[in-house]
Amino acid sequence: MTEELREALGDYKIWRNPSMGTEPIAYLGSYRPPKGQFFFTPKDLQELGFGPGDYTVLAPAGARSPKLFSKWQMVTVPE
Amino acid sequence: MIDVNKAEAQATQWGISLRDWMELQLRIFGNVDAFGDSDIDDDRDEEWRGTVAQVLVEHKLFSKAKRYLECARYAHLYQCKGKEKHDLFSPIYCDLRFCPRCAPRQFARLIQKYEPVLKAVSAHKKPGFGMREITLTTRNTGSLTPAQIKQFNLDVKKTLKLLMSGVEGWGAIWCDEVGFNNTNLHAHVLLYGPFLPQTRLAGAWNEITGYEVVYITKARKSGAKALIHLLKYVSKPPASDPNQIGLLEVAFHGTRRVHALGLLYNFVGEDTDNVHSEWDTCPHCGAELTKLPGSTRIEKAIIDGRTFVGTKSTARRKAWIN
Repeated sequence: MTEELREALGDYKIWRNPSMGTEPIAYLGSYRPPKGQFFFTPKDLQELGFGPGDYTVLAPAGARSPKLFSKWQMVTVPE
Repeated sequence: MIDVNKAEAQATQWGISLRDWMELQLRIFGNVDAFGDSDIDDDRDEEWRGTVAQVLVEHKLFSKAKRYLECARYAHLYQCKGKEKHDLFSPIYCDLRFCPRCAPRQFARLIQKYEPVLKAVSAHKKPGFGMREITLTTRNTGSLTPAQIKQFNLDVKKTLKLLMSGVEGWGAIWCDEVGFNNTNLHAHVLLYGPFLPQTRLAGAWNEITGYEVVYITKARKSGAKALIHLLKYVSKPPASDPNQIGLLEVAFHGTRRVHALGLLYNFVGEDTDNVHSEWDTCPHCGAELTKLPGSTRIEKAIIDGRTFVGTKSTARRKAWIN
């Protein structure tokens, strides 16, 4: 996919997973992965300023592919 | 239970659909990718189930939508009351009629429920009586509603009662069906009773419904085999299109799909699946089990070292209807 296409697909939504079951899910906003990428790595989330923990990423509809890019992505930022 | 208003408000605030909100909750509170790319391999199935759930959400069947998403993917958590407090899990099933995983289970329960009475009447046939297979059809209107299905079932019941008026010892079981990927509603009936000419059947059906197309034939099989033949479509969802499956769940919401009348109603068997479980006690130490709050993805339960304890009798399954 080209960079233009990725731009056209739109933003990814990111939530921080609660560390305990009783905490609420925190919506962190809409972001785009770094240039040339169609997913987020732990390093990408660190660079966005997110601390250690588990994150859930929802890909925009056009960026999903059954074999290559999942609708939902789980990313763990290490300590 | 989901607080739908709160969920919808939060979904709107986050700019996602209610279906995605449900998926997010399920993913996070069962949050693990235990087998690397397992979630990617599973995407097609999740997407298919998500579409069915979307239709259910649109028709305000929120709890059913959640069940459809969770089915055979999530597990209830249990712990034994023994000294060791063994951790256990039991897979969640939606028990919905048109679920590809649960339909065969419903089929097995129906066979268990109706098989004894059919075996009994086949073994002790009344003189002049026999098993007959009947098909009663309607006009395909392009859509189905619960009211339409309720009326259809009432019409089938009226027709059979009219035809068997004054006859002692007759019985019938019927199953509502639709054509594959369409809304062509019809009923397959297994009738135990005296000879019935096609013209009389057609006349009665036409008098009650205005429809004309009916078929009747002597059952080619007897006892349990005739029942399996009647109910075979219950074991398989009648559509590959998830939107159609969702609409069928909506149409059959609050209505039965399989019905019995007369002798076959009076002597129906017990549905023991909802009262008995092989998994009443801890498989490690035999202690009683306690259900813990919440649920988790099955793969996480396995990775966490929990032991499988089969399906449990939940309150919903006790109230099971076919």
